Amino acid sequence: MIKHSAENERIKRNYFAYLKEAKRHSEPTVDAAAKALSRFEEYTGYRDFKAFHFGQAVAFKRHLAEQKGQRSGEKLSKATLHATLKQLRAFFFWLAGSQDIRHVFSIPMRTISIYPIKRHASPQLIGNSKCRRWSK
Amino acid sequence: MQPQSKAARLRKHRPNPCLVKIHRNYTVEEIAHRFGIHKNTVREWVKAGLPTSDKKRPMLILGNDLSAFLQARRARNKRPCQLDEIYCVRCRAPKRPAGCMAEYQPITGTLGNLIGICPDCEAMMYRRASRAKLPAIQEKLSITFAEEERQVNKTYQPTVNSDYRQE
Repeated sequence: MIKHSAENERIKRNYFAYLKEAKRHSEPTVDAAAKALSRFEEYTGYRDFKAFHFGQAVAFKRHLAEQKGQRSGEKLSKATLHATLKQLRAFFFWLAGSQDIRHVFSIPMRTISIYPIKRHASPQLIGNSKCRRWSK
Repeated sequence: MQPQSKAARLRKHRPNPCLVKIHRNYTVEEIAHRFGIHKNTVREWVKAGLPTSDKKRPMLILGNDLSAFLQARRARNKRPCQLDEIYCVRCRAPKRPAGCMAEYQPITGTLGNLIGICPDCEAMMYRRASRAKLPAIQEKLSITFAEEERQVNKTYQPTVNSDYRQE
């Protein structure tokens, strides 16, 4: 069973260095990016980042919305989904623009924008109590 | 060069798996810096079976693999004793005392030392034992009480340096 992609690990390493050194992000922020990427890789079966397709992003978004938290046993909150997808979006924007990958990364940038999730979910999707909280 | 504190030495000799982040990857230098150990120590770990990401340089080690490796090492070095066993330092293994006999030497009202002799190398073996657990141990070992014997034999010598005035 494949548990990692060596090529992806090196790309991730460069990205974390970029977040820390160029963007001056703190250690917990970089950890959050690492966790989001780990979730995405696990879902895609550790497929190469260079083989990114927008269909993967859409499917992952739906898959994540169905996942349950380990501690609570309930579905992941909107905040968790938003934070995860935001990190992934930033990563793929960086990847599409990075020098060593631009020539093989054929996906145009606008397809990456599919990641954002609505902060204000419709009342059908979430319970009434949460809906009130979001509407405030 | 300043002498190292006990905590620093422990940190060096028993690297904590919790210091490793499972979603990150590390080079040999980064691991060495994190644990305060030499780079060659990390390279020894790789030779001893710590998996690397691929064969390319710089060598990358996944946090998940490193954490699992260190945890396995810790577990391998543990020698848990059963209720009737004492760890023999010379044999490096838990042993049942010779003749199933041990001596209990109380330190406080609730705690004491269990002393036995190794059946193989005849070295003294020591273990802390709770007074509350003694009845359970006594089912498997015959235990003698050191303090009681001392009182029976009257070996207690009063000190001659007394502050009291002699009348």
